Amino acid sequence: MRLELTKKTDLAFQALSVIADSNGERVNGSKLAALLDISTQYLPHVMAPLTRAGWVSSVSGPRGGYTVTTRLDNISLLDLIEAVEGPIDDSRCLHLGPLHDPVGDCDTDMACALHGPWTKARKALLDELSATQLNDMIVVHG
Amino acid sequence: MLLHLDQRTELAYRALLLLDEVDDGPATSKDIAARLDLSPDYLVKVLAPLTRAGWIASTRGPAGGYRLSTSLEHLCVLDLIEAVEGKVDREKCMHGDSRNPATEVCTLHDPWIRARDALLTELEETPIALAGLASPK
Repeated sequence: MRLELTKKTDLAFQALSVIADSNGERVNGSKLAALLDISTQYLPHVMAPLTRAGWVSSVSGPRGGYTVTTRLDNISLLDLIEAVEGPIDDSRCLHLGPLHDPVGDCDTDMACALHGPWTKARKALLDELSATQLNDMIVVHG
Repeated sequence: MLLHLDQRTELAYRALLLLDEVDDGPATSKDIAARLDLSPDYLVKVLAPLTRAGWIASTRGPAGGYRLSTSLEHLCVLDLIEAVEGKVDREKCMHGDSRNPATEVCTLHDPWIRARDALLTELEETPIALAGLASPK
């Protein structure tokens, strides 16, 4: 069973850290890509979820770049992961849905046999992620 | 990143409970398949990890079938999930990351490991025998 994040989430977090650390100055895309050690072509893929979430704004042009538009203590690690990788909990336990209810939610009326323990375990993970704010995780970049 | 279990894990769990209830000799694969509403071919795939783990054993012949070869009290929900879906790599945070976790960690390492451990601990602390009774907090 794979319980792993994607590299893109880690890169998105690093990008937010760099931009938040720039004291309101726009961070140029080339500089940001170099700091993250990724190509300038890949950078927009990393930044797209952050702009979509309204956390970062970008200005194009020679003097353009990225700025943070919210405080990082308003963003939890859960927010970040879900912005980049999509929702973690869709009210279903099983990849293909329980056999007796292949399209519906796995709720208490029509729950799969592992609904109780899986829901409880998933909630433990979600609680940890939502209690962790990004500003508590920031590493200052050189 | 949807956190879903594989459907085969739930079926394997129901097969274990079913075998735990049987006390008059082995249960035939036909019976188990009928109770779980599966084709006999798919049942073989569902039961294979349980046989491999040594939790169930099969006997051939007219009176043959499957029986439990361990007590469910010794197994937790995480054992079941890992038997069917493979071991969770506890050192690794990120999919496709080739870095050595012992020397270089990603920036999300600590909070992610803490959250993942919270999930794994819940699954470790729930015995299979009680899994059906566990209710969400």
